[in-house]
Amino acid sequence: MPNGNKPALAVNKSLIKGKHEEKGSDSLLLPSSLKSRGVKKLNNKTTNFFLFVSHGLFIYLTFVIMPIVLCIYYSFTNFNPLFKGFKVIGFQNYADLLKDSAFGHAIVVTCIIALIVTIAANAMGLLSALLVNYKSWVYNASRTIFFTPQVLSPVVVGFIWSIMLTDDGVLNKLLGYIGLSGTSWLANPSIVVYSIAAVIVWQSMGFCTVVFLATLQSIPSDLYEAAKIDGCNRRQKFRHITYPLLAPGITINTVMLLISTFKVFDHVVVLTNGGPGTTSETISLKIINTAFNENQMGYASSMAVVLFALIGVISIVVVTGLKRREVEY
Amino acid sequence: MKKTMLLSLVLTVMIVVAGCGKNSSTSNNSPSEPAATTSAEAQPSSSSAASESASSAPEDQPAELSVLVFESPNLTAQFWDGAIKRFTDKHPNIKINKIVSPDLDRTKYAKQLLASGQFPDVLMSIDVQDFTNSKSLLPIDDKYLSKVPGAEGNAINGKVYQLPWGAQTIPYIYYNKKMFADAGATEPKTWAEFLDVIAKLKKAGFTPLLNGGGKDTWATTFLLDGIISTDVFTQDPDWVTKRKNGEVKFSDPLFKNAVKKWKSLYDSKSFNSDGLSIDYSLLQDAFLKGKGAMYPMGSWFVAAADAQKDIDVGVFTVPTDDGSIVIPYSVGGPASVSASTKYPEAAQMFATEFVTDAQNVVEIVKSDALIPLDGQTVDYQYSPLFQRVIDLIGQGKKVNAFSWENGDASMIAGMKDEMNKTAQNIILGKSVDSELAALDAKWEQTSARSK
Repeated sequence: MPNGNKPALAVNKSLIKGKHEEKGSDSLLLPSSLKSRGVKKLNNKTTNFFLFVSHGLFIYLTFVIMPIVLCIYYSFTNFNPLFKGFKVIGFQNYADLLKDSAFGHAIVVTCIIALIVTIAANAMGLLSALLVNYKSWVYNASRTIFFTPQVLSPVVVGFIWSIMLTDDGVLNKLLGYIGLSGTSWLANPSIVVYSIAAVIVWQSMGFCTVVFLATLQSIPSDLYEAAKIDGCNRRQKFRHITYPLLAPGITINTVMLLISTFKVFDHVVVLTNGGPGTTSETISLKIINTAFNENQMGYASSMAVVLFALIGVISIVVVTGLKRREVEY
Repeated sequence: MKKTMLLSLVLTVMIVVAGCGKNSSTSNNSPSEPAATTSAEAQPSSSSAASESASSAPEDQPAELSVLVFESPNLTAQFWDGAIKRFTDKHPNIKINKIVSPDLDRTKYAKQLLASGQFPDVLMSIDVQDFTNSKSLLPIDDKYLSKVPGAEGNAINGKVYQLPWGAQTIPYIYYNKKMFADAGATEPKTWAEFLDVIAKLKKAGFTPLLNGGGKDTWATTFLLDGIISTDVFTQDPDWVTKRKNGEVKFSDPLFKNAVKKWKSLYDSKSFNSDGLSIDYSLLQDAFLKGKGAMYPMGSWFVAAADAQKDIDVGVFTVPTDDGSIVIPYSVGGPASVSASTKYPEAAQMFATEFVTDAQNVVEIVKSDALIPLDGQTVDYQYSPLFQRVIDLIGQGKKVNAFSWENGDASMIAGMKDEMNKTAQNIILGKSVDSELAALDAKWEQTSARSK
């Protein structure tokens, strides 16, 4: 607002000038009282900046921005963690990435997992939130049960499911009881990616449930009362009130799930380690293997930059799209 | 008030900045805080620096060493603590800070520590070939090598970077004696006899061979490693060295035929169908619970076999075309020393005493069925199965164990994993020709990036 400041400045100048004229001076210098007040104000601002912003900013710059900048820098080098020196090689790593079919495969696998997890965890989270959105100890207990997988470590979850999904595992035995033949959930190349996605959905559902519950409980009850007076049935209430007003919850869940599943690593390592072969290798796993097994840290950094850009672009597109359908009330 | 707060803030920032710096003198034993336990400010030194120190530094000069270890069901925290205590009791001036690798992949962790300037002074059971090009490891001095039997066996360009404490055979084929008896099968020597045994086992309703996979991709390739060792390394013992020089390729007929021989066993459905979905521990469990008749595995399996009473286990070597006995043999050892250690003498002394300490060796023989090296005396009562494993070594020709080579004969970094993935892709039905060609391309790419 540069124009808005002008009149105030003019007034101040005239006031200052007037006071100085009274003293017989044509100087535009600030009187000592005002000057010291201004300096004090400035000092206060600096002090406040140091007190409340600088330490957070320092930590953010050191632990978030600096690693990102370094990663981008390394992506233009042939950095090998075992050697002290490295050379800047321009866009060579990125040119190699374009020809790397294994990296392309990792992007496809990651996108499939991200898509399935985002849609399925949202849908199941919403269903379970609607189921437990009542006041009773049974529903409170159910909420705890739904949320329990979320507090478990992905490594623990992966380990438990890796045993359950073997050919002789619990899942195939249960399927056997109802007359269905199971499959090799983690060894069948046409199924393994979906098995991993299912495990992540199982764990992420609790998070979605909590977000949806909070959103559901923030919807004003008078809207439902008005709908009841208008003669709406349950389906119509859900379609015209609940679903539109759940939009903020859907935005949060979708963005959080997309970001976390694009970075998925722990589940994949424990369940399949990218196998069988390279069938379930995700971008993060590929980055770690390239950096620490093959010692190609520079090349792995270029993969990380691509992943960073991918998550950034997808997040912006998704947030922009979902924000549009959010309703103010 | 605000001045006080500002002062506190500035002090906090200073502490944080100081904390981010390198530290060489603290002694925190927490594995999650390796920075505090390493000698990050150690001056870069080479073997010559070590030699200078060797001549000037007395053996019990005060020193503080960081030692990277890994914990497994066989090598527990108590094992490492006991070994360290025996050393520090003997050398009270030397302080040892134990750094525990967060998982079994201590080589990967060592790389992270090296990249972040926190490389430990002594490192246990890392893949040394990953660190020799960058001169990150110290060649062990002759005066220490002379105390360790078989030390020269793992030399790289004439220098030893890892002190051995025993050997392993990778693989032998362990079998369920009762299943063999029920199927009327006997230990095969030739490949034709092996195929006959498989046919008999199938006819008797048993799964002839077991393999694994899951998160442990290396559990897929034991028999393949054995076939490559017996078929390729007997004809060309320097095959890996030649591959490094570009003189041979994976897609050459000699190597390709060995892979096809292994693949034929999958085509004839001789392996368990769930192999790629079960990890190493489930695989071992499957054999011990009688879910398969034959189990190609490293000699460390003897410890597990001796610890159970459910099945009676026998053993034979990987059958060869002409029936000759070939032993895929790998001399392994734990102790390597950092080239940048501030205390090269103390570090080498610790490494040497660790691998020669009688109690350490007995423990590793007992828990990991490590086979004593020539010249090594171990006071241990071997089980009949263990004794058979040792006796077979004397009856056959030793070759390097493919994928488990050490020293000059080892593959370039990252290729073991690529080999395992290639094997799994072949099991999934991809063509042997295209997969081996892809493996050659990967070798060239990785090799070019490592230069």
